[in-house]
Amino acid sequence: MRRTWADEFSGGSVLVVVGGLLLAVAGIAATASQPVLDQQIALAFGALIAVGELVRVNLPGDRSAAPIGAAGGLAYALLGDFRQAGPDDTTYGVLQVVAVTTIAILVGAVPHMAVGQPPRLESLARRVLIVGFAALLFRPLYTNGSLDGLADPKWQLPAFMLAIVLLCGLVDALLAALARSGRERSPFTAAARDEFGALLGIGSAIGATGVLIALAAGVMGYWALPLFALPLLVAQFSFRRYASIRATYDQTIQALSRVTEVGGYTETGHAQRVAQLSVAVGREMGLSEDDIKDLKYAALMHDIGQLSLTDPISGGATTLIARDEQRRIAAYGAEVIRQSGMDRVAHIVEQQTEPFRRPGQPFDANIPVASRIIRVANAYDDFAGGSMESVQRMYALGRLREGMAEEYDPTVVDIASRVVERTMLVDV
Amino acid sequence: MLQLRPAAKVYLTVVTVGALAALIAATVQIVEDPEHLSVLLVLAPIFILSIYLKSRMTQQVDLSANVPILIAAYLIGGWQVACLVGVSAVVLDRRKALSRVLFNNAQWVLMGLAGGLIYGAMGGISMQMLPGGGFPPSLLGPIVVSIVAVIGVNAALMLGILASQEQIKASTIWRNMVLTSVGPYFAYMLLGLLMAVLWSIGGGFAAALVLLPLLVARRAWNQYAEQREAYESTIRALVQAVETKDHYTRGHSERVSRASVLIARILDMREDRVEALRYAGILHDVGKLGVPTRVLQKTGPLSDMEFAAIKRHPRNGTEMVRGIAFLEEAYNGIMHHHERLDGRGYPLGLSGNDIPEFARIIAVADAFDSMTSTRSYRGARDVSEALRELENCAGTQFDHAMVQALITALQRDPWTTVAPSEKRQVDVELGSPTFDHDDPTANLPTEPDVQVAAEAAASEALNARMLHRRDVLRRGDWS
Repeated sequence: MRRTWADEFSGGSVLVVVGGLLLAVAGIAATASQPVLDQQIALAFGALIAVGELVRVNLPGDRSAAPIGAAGGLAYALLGDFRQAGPDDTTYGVLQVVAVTTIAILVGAVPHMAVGQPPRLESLARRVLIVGFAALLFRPLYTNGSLDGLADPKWQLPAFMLAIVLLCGLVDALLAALARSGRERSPFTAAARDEFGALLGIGSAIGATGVLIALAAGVMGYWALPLFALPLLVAQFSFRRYASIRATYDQTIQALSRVTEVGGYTETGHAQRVAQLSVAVGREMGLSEDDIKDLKYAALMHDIGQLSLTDPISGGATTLIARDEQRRIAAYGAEVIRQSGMDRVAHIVEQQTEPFRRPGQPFDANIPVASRIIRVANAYDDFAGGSMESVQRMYALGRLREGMAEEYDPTVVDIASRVVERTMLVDV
Repeated sequence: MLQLRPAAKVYLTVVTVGALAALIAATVQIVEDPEHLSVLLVLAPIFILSIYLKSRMTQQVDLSANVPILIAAYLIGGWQVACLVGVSAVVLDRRKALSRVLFNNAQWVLMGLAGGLIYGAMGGISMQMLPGGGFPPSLLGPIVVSIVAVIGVNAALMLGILASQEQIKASTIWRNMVLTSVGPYFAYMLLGLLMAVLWSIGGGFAAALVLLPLLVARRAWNQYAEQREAYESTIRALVQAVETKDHYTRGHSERVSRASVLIARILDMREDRVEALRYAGILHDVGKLGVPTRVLQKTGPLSDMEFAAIKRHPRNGTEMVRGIAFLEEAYNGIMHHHERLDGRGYPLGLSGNDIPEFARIIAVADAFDSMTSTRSYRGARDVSEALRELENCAGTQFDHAMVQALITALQRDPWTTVAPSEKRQVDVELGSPTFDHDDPTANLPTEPDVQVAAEAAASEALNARMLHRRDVLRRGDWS
């Protein structure tokens, strides 16, 4: 989906961006007023961070990241003695770390902006904040000599650094969740759960690399920067491959969701619209990233079972045909999807025809929430027919409300109405 | 059970004896001078763990943490430690065939031996002895040369086993295995070097930390591989759904894809192009969805309108897959698979070499499968008969080179159909020849004796053989 300025500056994103901006300005102002300390080191780490920004990747789950840039920033914050630059000790402080990181990130981002793919401001701001946080925890203790008193620095120093990057990772996940929940209108707890999950992956590699560069650079000198960034580059490459196959998978499902359209079974764009509405509702209901993915795939393919029909039904609107027929179509579609190994998606598709509850019976908890969402989104699109006219949309929402007693889950209908009304303001 | 060819037996014996000799020498030296015993005690468990994690995964793509550990082993502790680290994983080797167990472990030992000996001979010193943890640039030469030796030994040993047992051409091995593994090996070299350097700074704990990014990378690779498999099965399932529209084409797309790949292998096509061709083959008829079921299943001659509807399917198909980020070539393959060499095909009437290569391949595979499988109005034909027919049409309808490639491929790996005893008569509606848009001989009368293609089982075996070869080439590990 296209990013807009409105998305960029919604809710939590604003907090993160403003926070990062304030810190960056403070750092640059403070550093500009006095000579830069340990200039060669600042230049070397600045270059590493800039290169890291240049080779940024898009990770699965719409996460844009610059692992090498982040690791370089952490290493610069955690650098202790540096034997190749005159006197052993490094003397620069927290604000210089922030200034160098900020400028390097901006330099690395210029080529991306030049080709019209500006990085997400929130992710840049987050990086400045985290590096600043790491520097705040390490540099004062290092410069005032507290760390010299360690009994066995050979393992205690690395352990201390590891503790710092771990803490940084946690804070970063919280900030990312804050921004994501604003951007996608999902509950904060759901976003936090997703971000902590993502932290275990490339996050641990970033932290380890930051510590390793800081440790090794003290002994090996500048060689340590490119050398120890290399394993992370390999990791980044693997993630890129993963992200790209995920994207291809996505595109393929999108393409194949049009199969029923080309075959003349469903209206143009129906599957796409149902998927869009379903995902928006699912996010607001706090579904996890994996569940959202399944929901999206199921929504895109919810009509695939219509391929088994000899004659297309009018307008492809399954909402308007007998329940038994609906079930038969859904079961066939589920069978096709099950053969492809997506059992959960198949189950969702299979259950989409079930009413929210039967007369005189309590609500059936066995129906997956994703099925209930697709049922509502599908019905909405069948009633509204893809129309952008507000009259038509209000009519469709009205029909959904009438069905709330049995057919449609009231919670889902409520949220779907909110989503539709919100987009109506934009589209009409 | 694995049947070894005689040449492979001799080869395997030589390799195993060589590795055993190296191991005995290494053990004697370590016992006499246990200076680097601690290195062995730290690295061997990590090595075993890494092998163990690897053996639980079945994906073709894999990033090995074992090579860096092996390199670190000789950089820190010399060839003796590397040999013993190399053999340590034999305790957990769960491969069934003894010959594979012997070969792969011998390979680790000999790689460690070669790297360590060359490093030592060129004046490389143990990284544990580095003065103050500094890294003298004079060590770079020995390190690089020793890595080249490790790559060389790996390639030579694989070359031997593949040539003697699997009979793969040396040029194919060179291109697919040796050239593609140079990049990763230099990354491994650096990782091994980093482990060794960190060992001198922060001990075994810091050295092990180097492997963390690699493990993360490997997890991402595995996710990638899983996703890829899921992706393939999804495409298959959906294509099968498409094929339900026409009972007689069941399995057709799959087989066309396989025959296309066979042709591509003979043409020595690059791996990523083969991959794209495979998808193009599977999806080549997906546009038939836009053709009314009535027309597809119609028996008897077609009206002009109906024929026009059928002629639209390559275009429809291309349109449908347009959103998927394939190679451009795959679209071309789908779009033009009904062009004829003499320019009388559709949709654009391209001729000769104007027809994209993928399309020329798929056209042959498509016609071949169409002739060798059962259709509503006739039975399946013999493979040899179909190939003769293809040869007859080469030059006018098909590209001669592609037809020849298919013939060569089928001589090497026969297109398996059921045994004659399982032949059975199929009710054939004679007298109502249907238009078959894939069959170059659709209007000729055919014999009613029928051989039913053994779809799944037979072609599965062929596919498994091909996959096995591809995996061996990718992994550089004969298992």
